[in-house]
Amino acid sequence: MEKSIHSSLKHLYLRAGFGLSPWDFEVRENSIPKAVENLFSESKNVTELQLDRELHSPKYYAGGMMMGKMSQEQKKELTKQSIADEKEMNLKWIEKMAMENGSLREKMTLFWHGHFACTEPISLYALMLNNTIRRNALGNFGDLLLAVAKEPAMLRFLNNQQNKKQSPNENFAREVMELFTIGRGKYTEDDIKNAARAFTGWTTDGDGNFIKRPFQHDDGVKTFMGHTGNFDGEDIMKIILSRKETADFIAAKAYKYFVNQENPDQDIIAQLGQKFYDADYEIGVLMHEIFISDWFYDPKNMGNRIKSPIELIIGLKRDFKIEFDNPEVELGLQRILGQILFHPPNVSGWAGGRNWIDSSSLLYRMRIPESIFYTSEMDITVKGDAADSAMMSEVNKKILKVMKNTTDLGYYDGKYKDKTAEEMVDELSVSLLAPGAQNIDKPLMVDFVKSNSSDMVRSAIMLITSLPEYQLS
Amino acid sequence: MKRRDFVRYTTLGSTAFLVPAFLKGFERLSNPYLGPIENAYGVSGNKKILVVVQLSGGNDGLNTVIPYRNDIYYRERPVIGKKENEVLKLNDDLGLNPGMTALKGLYDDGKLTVINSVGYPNPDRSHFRSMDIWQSASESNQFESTGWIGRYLDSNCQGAQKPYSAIETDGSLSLAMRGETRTGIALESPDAYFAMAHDKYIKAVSERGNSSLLNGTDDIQKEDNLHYLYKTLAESGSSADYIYKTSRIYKSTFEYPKGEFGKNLKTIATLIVSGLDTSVYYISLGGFDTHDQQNQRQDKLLKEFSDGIGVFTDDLKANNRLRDVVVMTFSEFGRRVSQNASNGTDHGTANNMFIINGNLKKPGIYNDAPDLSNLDNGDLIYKVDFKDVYGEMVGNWLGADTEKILYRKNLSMGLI
Repeated sequence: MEKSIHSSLKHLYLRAGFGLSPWDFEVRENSIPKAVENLFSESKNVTELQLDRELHSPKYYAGGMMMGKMSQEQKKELTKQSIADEKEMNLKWIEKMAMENGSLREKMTLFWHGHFACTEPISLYALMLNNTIRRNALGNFGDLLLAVAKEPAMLRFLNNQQNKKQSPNENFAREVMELFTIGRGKYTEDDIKNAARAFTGWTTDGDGNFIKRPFQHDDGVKTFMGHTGNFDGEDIMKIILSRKETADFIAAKAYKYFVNQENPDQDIIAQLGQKFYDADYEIGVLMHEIFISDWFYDPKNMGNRIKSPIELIIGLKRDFKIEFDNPEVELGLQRILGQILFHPPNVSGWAGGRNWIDSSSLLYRMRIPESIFYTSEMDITVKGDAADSAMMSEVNKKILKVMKNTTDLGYYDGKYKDKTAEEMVDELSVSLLAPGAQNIDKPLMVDFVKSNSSDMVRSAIMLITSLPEYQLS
Repeated sequence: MKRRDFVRYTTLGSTAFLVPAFLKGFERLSNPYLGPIENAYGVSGNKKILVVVQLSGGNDGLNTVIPYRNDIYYRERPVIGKKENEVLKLNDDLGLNPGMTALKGLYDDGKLTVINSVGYPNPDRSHFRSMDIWQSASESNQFESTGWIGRYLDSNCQGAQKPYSAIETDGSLSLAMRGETRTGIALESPDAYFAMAHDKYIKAVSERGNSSLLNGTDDIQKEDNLHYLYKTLAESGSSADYIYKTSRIYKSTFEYPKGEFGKNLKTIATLIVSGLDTSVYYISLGGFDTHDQQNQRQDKLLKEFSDGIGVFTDDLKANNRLRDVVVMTFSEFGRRVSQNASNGTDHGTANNMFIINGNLKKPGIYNDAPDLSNLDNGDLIYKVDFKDVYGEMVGNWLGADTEKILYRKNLSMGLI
């Protein structure tokens, strides 16, 4: 494969998915349009995130009663089970992201998971939201928005259960506009009040099914963004989507996530917004446009994005077939690196980019490969979280001491075992580092690789994955 | 062979940085890092330090500072209410939880201010969100991705300019400590942090970054993320060196309570007395989410808190540093006035804060006891916005411009 095509394909798979393992890479097509087409076709089908057991609604735990009527014991049982479920959901999702070819859909699901950020202590609801996002991740943004807005997790998280005709709660209406659609400054406080009235009565039954309670709904006349009528929530969403600023807001967010967060090109963002708007909010059209454009492959947009902790963990796990003896290590890693699936910091999601990096988290990132490849200890104590993150406080803080795992470096051994340290560093840096971030100090690496003559391949892999360059995608 | 056998060399085992006891006085005199703020006798200069203590989980303020003359308090808390004869009386209305003898001592000494009914408008009862609000110092309907101490670092004012100007004693960094362009350092101990940064390989990589990337022989732009990563790495390395070396200067002989909290307080005292040029320290004590059987748990935690702070202030006082240090405590919310069916309390709103310092302007009880007869849905109504207390800390104490950090003018509460 020609070098520049090779780099472009690698870049595409890193950004549109979670990268490709070297052995998968060898059998890929060698043109960008074909690869993009493949990414979409492999993501056509939706495989939902599922646990081996059935998750139950609050009504089940309440013995058929409403949640408010639960006894202390029933509440405890629900909490206990939800924590156990959520751990498993987390690990299963990591597995799914790492293992599937249809990684564009999973990458989009992760993107929207941060966009429609929500923390839901009831595991069933958290899983429902996650799968709703997954189903709509490449569909129409309007459908996605409405589906998310009707999820019990989101209605609960943004207090719409308390949004009633007699006593409106504006939280839901405010976040829908500020964070999910049009952005701050594009609406008035009156718009929020009127939108909140339109969403009154939107709630769920004890099993999490969306319902509108007519007696709690304010069906009076509302004035919203210059329109007047007996609006319901659906009408409000339609009006928001009719504003081009909404398309611009989403396009800008996608650009910053998939292309360049630190130095965004405003002209390109404006073009993307227009395209997205003209395509009636088809997410697939927006993403296709990004991946197929020349500017996406501009050197300044390659190898210059800081991997999120999830991307880092998935890359390592997949490329070296890492299985931890105690899978909860993966939760511990998410925690010390600052991104726990299903636990965004708040409703505005993970800030991303340089926010992932501080002096401690960078040192962890650089020390984790050693702990994995040489099963050394990481002695880290992390403060117990507040009760809302009960799942994480359950993860024993000492767990990172036990990084025991198995790796499978068979592919690399076969390929590099008989090569010199120089060749190994040369080839592995191209294979493991993002294009644009491969200009490493090779003599230095070679010295270190050579100092472990008993297993130079393992050593070279550990050394390269410990580099600051490895933090980039 | 394991990699660490041949690659990692940790200087912890070597004697390079271990200062013999008889040289310590000399070390203090000559340590180039100390500058004018410290002399051989440990007498303080003008270095001002803030220690933030986070009580995580929502500490029940009404069983911490107890309105022991208030009938409503006993009516609403028939089981968990603290009896008048056990509370440590501060004045005719309020007394401390029986476990907090050390804090009572500080109060009697004029080194403690209690601020009642601290909170914010439209309070949120989720731990998660309310902690976010306290740490980012945002309004409850706003979302900030930076923290208030992080923005203090961003301000780059005198005292905030070093990579180690703010230190949290924990394995990971809180939102409070993250700014737009600058962050604090999270460390479990100077030794552990040093050991992390001083892997031979990491050092070599960092030096390479220093020589080629940061000094411009490579074609790397300053705004590139690679540049940012190497810059952060270089700073981590030099900070780890400096913190580790400086921490050797003073060895505390005070006995701190067992556990993480005591250990971390001891680390902070060591760094302060050693003369580390750090302005803000951040420490947490968790477990305050007492929905059931509250008293056993909370009493124990408050004792751990109070005993720890007592030793900490003794330590600082013995080294003439208590006047330079302000301790500020907070929790993400207080708890409901009424006890619940499990002899615990549920999430509430306003709470008290403690301010501790050797030279307080208004020691004692700062404002009226919480008004239990005028509640909002069973919860206390806040009287003091916590952002004003923060303003006092970053503005009056640390001398920064509060406008950029807290989006409000520098108003004095007259605390310090």
